[in-house]
Formats: sequence, structure tokens, C-alpha cells
Amino acid sequence: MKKWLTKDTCSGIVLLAFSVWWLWGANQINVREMDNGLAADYMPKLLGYVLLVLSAILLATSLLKTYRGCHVEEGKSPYRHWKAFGLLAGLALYCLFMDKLGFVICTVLFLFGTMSALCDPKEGNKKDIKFLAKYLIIAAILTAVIYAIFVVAFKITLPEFSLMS
Amino acid sequence: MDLFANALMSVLSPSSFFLLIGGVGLGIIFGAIPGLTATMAVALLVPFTYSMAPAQGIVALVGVYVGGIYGGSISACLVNIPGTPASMLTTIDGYPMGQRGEAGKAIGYATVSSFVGGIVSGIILIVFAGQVAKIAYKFGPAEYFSIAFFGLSLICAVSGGNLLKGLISAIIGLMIKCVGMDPVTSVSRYVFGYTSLLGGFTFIPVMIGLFGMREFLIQVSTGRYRFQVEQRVGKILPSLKELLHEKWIMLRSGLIGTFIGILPGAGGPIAAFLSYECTRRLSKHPETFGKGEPDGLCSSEAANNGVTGGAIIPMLTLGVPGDSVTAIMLGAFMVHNITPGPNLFTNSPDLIYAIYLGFIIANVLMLIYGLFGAKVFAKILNVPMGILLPCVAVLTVIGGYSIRNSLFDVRLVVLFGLLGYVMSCFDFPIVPMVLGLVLGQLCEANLRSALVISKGSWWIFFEHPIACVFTVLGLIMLISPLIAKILVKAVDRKKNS
Repeated sequence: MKKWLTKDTCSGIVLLAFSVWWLWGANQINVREMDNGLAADYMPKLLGYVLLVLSAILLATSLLKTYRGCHVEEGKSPYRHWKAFGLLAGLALYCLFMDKLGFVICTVLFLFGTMSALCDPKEGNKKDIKFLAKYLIIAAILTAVIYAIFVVAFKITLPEFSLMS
Repeated sequence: MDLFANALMSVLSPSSFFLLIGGVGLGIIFGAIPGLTATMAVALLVPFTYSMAPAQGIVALVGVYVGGIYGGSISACLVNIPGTPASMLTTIDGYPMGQRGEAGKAIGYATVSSFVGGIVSGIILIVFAGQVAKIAYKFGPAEYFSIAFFGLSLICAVSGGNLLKGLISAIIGLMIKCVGMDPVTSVSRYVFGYTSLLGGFTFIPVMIGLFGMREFLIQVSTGRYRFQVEQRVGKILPSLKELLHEKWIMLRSGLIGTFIGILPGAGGPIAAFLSYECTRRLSKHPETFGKGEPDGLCSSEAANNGVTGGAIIPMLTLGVPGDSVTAIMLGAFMVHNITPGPNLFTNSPDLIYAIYLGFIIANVLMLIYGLFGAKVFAKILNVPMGILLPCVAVLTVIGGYSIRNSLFDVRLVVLFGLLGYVMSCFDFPIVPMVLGLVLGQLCEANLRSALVISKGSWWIFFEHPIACVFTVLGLIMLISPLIAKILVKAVDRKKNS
């Protein structure tokens, strides 16, 4: 059975929808009479139409390839998205709590969490207390180094602990 | 002469010199570790130049750039993985040399040829940048738009091997630049009530997201860089006789690299490929290429470091980046409210001289680092990525935050990191999007000005000679892959029949 929803077909559909939305947005831009046809919406409309045409070509060629059966079989993706999205969630929490808990506490926790998640399983049992302590110490040292470089040397202001205030 | 002396004093002042030494070293580390690139290093460091004097900050970034491009050769020779895309060709001969027990010598050849390539491009930068700026004074909107168009079409044609996806990526970059106030009429576009978006997407967080956060997510999800250096790095420096044997190859490759670097949008990988092919074809023993031939290694390395000086020329004279690293370096100019272009040569000549000097000194530092510190850099390759990657993630967050002390910018870093990751998953190249972002304002403002002058006629881009040359070249870049495809099909059909 032919697999119609290939990478290119999916991206073609999404880009087509996006270009339609973009052109709708371009029509919402306030245009004044004196703008001589080259108003603020000129470039957005031009880009919107070009993207519409290009995404239609992408979609059409992808569908045509599938129809003719000459689509190169997409092998197993090298990406393990759950890992990336899991870490994105961790990052979102890091950013969310940085305002309240401050840079130091949040960074130690984030580094500890990600390091223990990313470490090579050959290095040891992730539930072992010694193993976890090692990563906690590394996380604390790295946070101190980063803090010293950026806050002390470069004089950059980073969020501080503000839960009590 | 006073300007030169002032620039020398500013570059060699203890703090600036220390930053330059640190910049080159950091660049080599980022370049050497596969997965961390020179582009990422510059993107992460741009925000921190905010607190420095313009010359200090930009020269430090030049150091990172020079070190980063060279650093790629270390992992190419030791673990057969190019540290940067520009050192892809270095693996072909560098790694077999290492397998023969000449890993140190391979790094030595790479170091010296990178130095020669860098110095050749530095001389051309110093001699020609001022001349190009003089010509650029005469450029009008039509010329600027056509150069931007040429740069965009060139990068679309060469990146990722898929013209259509490259074009889409560039268009998305241009679209992102449309968000915020219109540069001509100050009308808001695609803001939807968010006042934070009135100034548009801040350039630096977007770059950090696309080159720092995206790379972090890709590394985490693929986990492909788990490697161990097994080769012993012995004697580094090849003999004088061996080096003199390579002198013409290094000089020629440095020149090829510089020329490719000058072309807006083209970069190290193309330069290294062209130079490698040129050396192989001219060689009396082409069959040895790919089996640990020093000629191949030297041509690739001299060319990719030759690109560095070349790429700085259009950045300084036209405000058009030569490659992805200089695209981000333009952000450093923005951080200091400096607009690159011909006026920079009259308004801030001291900065120009500081960049020239910084570039040459960075190359000398790179040579010293390479010859005396290669063994240390080889050890850095053994640091587990599980420890390095989370640190990179934290650096991206700090980089995003530090520009305006705003968590909104940190969210932008994450958002654009995610966008870049999704685009990579769907095989869309990122560099055209970055170039679209960088050239967006230049494109729009000059396109509209040119069309106002010509009363709406697009022929203006063919009436002015310089504009005509770049427009036609840009069109050829876009059309040539299609023509090539048709020709290949026609030849295939003929063969079959």
C-alpha cells in the first residue's frame, strides 16, 4: 500500500495552510492611501504568494512521486523525538521557575536532571545513590563556574531567589 | 598611521588580548567537538559582547570564528567526524593519516595550512575591503537588493541539495523579519496586540535558538556523537621540507577559499570541496587522494580558513554576510548600534583597523594553539556529551536572557530552537532562513525604494549594470539546478532508447 503522508506531503500541507494564514494577516495590515502601491503590506503579500506557490509545488511533486511509486522509502528516523521534547519540557520548567527560584538553584536542578538523563547507561546504575551524588556535585560545580564567569566577570544580571519577596 | 597605532593599542591592551586568546581557544574547543560548531559558539557569545567596547567584542568574536573553523580539523583527523561542516573534506585524508600512526602530523599539516589560508585571506581582506567599500558608496537601492537576492539564491542553490526547500526556508526567514513595525512607514505587522513584538523578533535570541538550542535538541534526540579518541597524538610539526612541498597548494587553496568566502552566502564546505577537487585534478598522483594524502588535507584546510577573511569583506563593506558565522556577527554590530556598510569605513576606521589586526593576531594565536595544544584539545574530545550538552543548553538560556534581562527573549530562544528542530526533522536547511532573516530588512527597504524610483517597474534591476550582473547571476543560480535536471533526464532517455 502506498504511503501518502510522507515528510514532504505533510510539510507541503502545513506550509500551504501557513501561507493562506499569512496572506490573511497581510490583508489586516493598515495601508494608507499615499503609499503608492508599495505600502507596508507589499512585502508580506509578495512573500505570502511566493510561499503559496512553492508549497503547492512541494505538495504536488510529493504526491506525484507517491502516485508514480518512485518515492524513496523513508527509513527509520534517526530522531528520538520523545527525548528532545522531554528536555524541552525540562527547559520550559527551568525558564518558568528561574524567576522565582533564581538562576543558581534552577541551574543546579536542571543540569543534574539533564546530565543524569543523558549519561551513558554504561557509566552506572541511574538509581545508585553514588552515581546520582556524582552528577549532583558536577552540576553544582558547573553552576558555580558559569555563575563566576557570567555574573562576576561579565557583570551580567541573572534572576535571583525571589520566592520569599 | 595614528589610526593603526590606536587600533594596535586597543587590540593589544591586556583585556582585549586576553579576550582574543580566550576567543580563539573557545572557538577551537567548539570547532573540535562534533555537534558544537563555530556558528553556535559565535551565536552564544554575541550577547556577552554587549558589556564590552565594540572593538573588543567584535575582535573576540573574530577570534572565535578563526579558531572555530580550524578546530573542526582536530576531530576530522582523530575520530573521522568533521567538527564543522567546513572540515568535511579534511576527514578524507586526515583520518587515514591518523590510522597510519601520523595523527599528530595530520593535525600539524592542518594547523599550518589553516594558518596560511587565514593569512592569505587576511591580506586580501586588508587590501581589498577598503576598495570594495569605495565602490559600494556608489550603490543605490537596486544594487543592494540585487546583491541580497544573489546571496539568497546562491545559498538556496547550494545548501542541503534541495533548491525548493532552500527557497522555502529563505522565504520563512524573510517572513519572520516582516513581523513588527514596517521599516518604511512604521505600521505594525503581524503583532496581534503583543507590544513585545512591535520591535520584531530580537535577532540574537532567534540566532541562539536556531544555532544553539536546535543543535542541542538534535544532539539529544539522535545521540549520535558518542566517540572515543583512540589515536595517539605524537609529533605535531611536519619537517620544513614537507611543509615547503605544500606551499603552492596552501597558497592556491587560500585564494580559492577567500574568493568563495567573498560570495555572499557561500561558505567553507564549498570552498573546501572546490579546492580539494582542484588539487586532486592537478596532482601527478590523484590515486593517493583519500588514502592519507597530505596535499588533500592541506588544500581542504587552507581553503576553509581562507573563507574566514573573505566572508568578512562583504559583511564589513555591504552589510551582507559571507557565511552563517558572519551572519551572526552582524548581530554583534547591531548590539553596539553599528551599521556595517561603506559608511563604517569613514565613521569608524579605528574599528576596521582593529578587526584587521585582530584577524591576523587570531590566526597567529591559532597556529600557536594548534602546534602546542593539540594534545589537550584531543583530550577534550573525550569529555562526555551528557555533561557538555546540558551546559550548552544553560548557555543558550543565559545568552537569550542577558541582552535585555527579559524572559520573553528566553522564550524566543526555546521557540526558535523548536522551529529549527522541526525544520531539520523535515529536511529543510536552516542557513537560508538565517540569511533571509539577516537580509530581510535590507531586501525589503531597498526593493521598495528601487520600485518607488522606477515607478513600479522591475526592469530597474536590469538597467543598472552592477544590479543587472547580480540579478542575472541570482536567476542563473535558481534556474541552473532545474536545467541540469532536465538535461540529465534527456540524456537518460537517449541512453534508454
